[in-house]
Amino acid sequence: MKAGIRSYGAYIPKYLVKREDIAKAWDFPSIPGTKAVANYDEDSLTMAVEAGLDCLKGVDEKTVDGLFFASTTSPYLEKSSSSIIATALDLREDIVTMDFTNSLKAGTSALIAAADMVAAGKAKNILVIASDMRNPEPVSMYEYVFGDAAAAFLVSADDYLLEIVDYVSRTEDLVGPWRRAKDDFVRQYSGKYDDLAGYAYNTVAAIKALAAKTKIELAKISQACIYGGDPRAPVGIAKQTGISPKAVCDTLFQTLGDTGTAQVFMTLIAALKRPKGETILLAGYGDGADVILLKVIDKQKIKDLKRTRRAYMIYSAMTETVDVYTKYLVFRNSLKKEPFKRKTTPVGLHRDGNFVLRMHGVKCKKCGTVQYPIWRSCIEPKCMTTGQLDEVKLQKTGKIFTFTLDHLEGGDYYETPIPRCVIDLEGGGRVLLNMTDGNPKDVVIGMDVEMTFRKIHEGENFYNYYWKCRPIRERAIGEEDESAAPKREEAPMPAQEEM
Amino acid sequence: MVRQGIRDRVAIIGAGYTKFGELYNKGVEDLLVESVGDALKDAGIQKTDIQAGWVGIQYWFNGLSGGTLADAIKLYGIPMTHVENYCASGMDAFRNACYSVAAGVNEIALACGVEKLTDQGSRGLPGFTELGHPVLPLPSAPAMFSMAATRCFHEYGWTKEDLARVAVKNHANGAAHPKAHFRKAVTLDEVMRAPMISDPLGRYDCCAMSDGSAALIITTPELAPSYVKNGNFVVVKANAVATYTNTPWYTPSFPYTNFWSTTKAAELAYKEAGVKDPRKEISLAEVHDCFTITELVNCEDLGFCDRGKAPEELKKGTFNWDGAIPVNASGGLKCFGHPIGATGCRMLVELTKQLQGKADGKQVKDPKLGLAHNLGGAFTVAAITILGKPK
Repeated sequence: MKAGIRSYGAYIPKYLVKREDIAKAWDFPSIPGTKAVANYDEDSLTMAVEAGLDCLKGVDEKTVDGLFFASTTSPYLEKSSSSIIATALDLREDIVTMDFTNSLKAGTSALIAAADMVAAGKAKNILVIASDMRNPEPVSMYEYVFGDAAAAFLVSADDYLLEIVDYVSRTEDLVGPWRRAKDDFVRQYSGKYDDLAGYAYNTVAAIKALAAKTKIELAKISQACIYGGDPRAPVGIAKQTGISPKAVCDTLFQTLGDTGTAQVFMTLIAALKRPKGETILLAGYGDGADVILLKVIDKQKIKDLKRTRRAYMIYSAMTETVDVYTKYLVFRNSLKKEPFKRKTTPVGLHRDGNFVLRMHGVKCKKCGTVQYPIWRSCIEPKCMTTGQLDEVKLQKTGKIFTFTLDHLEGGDYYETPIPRCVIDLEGGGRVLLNMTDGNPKDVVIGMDVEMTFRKIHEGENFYNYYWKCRPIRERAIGEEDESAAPKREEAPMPAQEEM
Repeated sequence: MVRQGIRDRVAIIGAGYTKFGELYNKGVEDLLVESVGDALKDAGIQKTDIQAGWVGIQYWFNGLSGGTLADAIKLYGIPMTHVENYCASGMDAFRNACYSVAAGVNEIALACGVEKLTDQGSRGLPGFTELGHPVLPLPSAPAMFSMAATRCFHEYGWTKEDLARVAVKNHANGAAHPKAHFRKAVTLDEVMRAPMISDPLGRYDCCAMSDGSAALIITTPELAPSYVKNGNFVVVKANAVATYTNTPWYTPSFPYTNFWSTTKAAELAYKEAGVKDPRKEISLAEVHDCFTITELVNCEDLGFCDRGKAPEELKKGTFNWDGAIPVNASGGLKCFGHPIGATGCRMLVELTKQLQGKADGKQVKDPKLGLAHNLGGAFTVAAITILGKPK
């Protein structure tokens, strides 16, 4: 196929909940490890923007011809998330945007669709983002399991690191995990039956079908990224298909949990940390299975790319703040807090889209001042010229000029005090942004910050998104940080019977 | 540019105000009836002598349009206008009334202000979820001003204790004022230990959510002697208002150590009043102290001391009620609270009584020229009025 993965990006939220804290709260037996949980102002959509920004580093966003968003937890049931994400990423308007939802394999399905479209010559670059924030019922097994994260691939016609060689897809109706529109939490009837008749049966069948179709020898697969609802499941699949258990890649369950549609994407990105061999297999499961064969094209590029990608946060995730379980319950509104609302208007927000979502400003032709938002006249009292302002894209990093720690932030009391920061952006423009994911004690004048896309409030019962700032999250860059990466132990989940 | 200023063309013949505080059992009507009644009594006239009225109100829940004033005092058939201009609403109502008298349109006009904040809960000024852009951050009032404090700490090395001294001074003054909301002195230690509102501003750094109303009756200096015994009335020497952006946090050159609107309004007011050296000529000032940091920066913007030196002067006693330039001898917003629309008029009532030598609180010794100042919005609008003795 003339299509491949040219770039990747990932996002892991700041907070990790210790599974032992969940166990302690309810006096239940624990399983080891942590799981990533999105902050109160995040959802699948905002995490997707983060992964997208990471993926597009060094790529001209105006060359992207499509955006596919995959998630079982799109914040809207009717309304496209991909269009909001595309706008926040400042993509063109004449592009194709699609939402792939409702199935755990939506991520791999979106990848297949993008590959076909690119291979058919209908598009040159399609950004595929899988993001999930599945809501487990408090005091349930899923509460230990579900983690939140997002991952993105740029599927391109040329210049790719990995070629998408071929794929096989199959579908089967089976009530595995499900959630109706009116349900708050993901449900499951019989985990074991689903594991056997749904997950194992379909994944194995699709892998075997792919082998038959492409004539590859499964024993020679060098890296297998197989979805697993528990950390041991992928090895079980390998054993049934003849894939070497050594080729099976870490699903990051120990640190992040089961990240839903994003899981196999995250697994692949993590595997690219140490690429080995030539053939990679990607298997997504959910109401059937998608299995994709990838061929390594450019090892050097893989190596180069990872130095610039936030995705490598995956390796430093263990060093981030581990916060308490009760906070997580508040984030997910399991304690039923009144949602924060502000007066809002979708009409005005649509009109302001270029500075609200795209974060554009203007530059004065007369005095040269770069400024935010999009004014008709220059804001500087020394100039004030009307009609001489050019719209410009603002950079998403800057330094704090002044700030306060607000203990009274109107209505939104999850994390007080809230640092409110006046920021001089790199390349010009001054903005006021609330800080999230930061420790208020660390905020000082001159501090470097970066923008992050967040859910601000739910006025008029829609999601009002905007940008916040946060301390720059350090990358665990390249090889030199490898020693600092935590050792990953085999996660001892309650033993699954061999299938 | 100014064709003819306001200097010596308007006289205050009546000044009245309510007690300020948590007046839960009084509404806007009660407060206006009291303050306007007090001013009418002071002027010795009937309400039907008033030919036009202006009322400063900031918040929509306090009343709409001029009918709020007409209905409250039951005075119908004349022009009544609602002025809304942030914390300068009351003083801007006064400015408009002055212009009508100076223009020769009215002989007797009423300027008043009122606000009932305690109807709206106590978690800071209401409205921050209803106003402004749907998602762009809109900081609360304490948050805006604390960003100035943070910057001043950084630039000048000011400390939280420097801020606290403003509260200590103003509370000491307010303790003596029968109309003040808070009549209790506080110690430096109490101020420092108070709960944080918006870092570095704690509870005593912030003015309170209070109710109140104040009113002024004005006429021409020629007519004033027929209303006020012994010619002991005061005249307007200057009115100035300067407006800048609602969102200074988007202005790359905004310094946060200097409020442009105050500086500009001061320049205009001093010019109109013929004040060359405010440090020598201004006998006392009511300076907007919604927050302790506001008073310090404003004192510099008003030219009362050099840049960065306000805390030093404060410590030396320059701004004490018996100092070189008494600032907020009444107790200021710190002790009266800040019923938005009422504050500007309340300051003018204070100055009038001070200049007449009949202050209700601490009487400044033999004042000649008094300055009142409001700063509203996000450092957006400053209004200054200078009052003095008739020529």
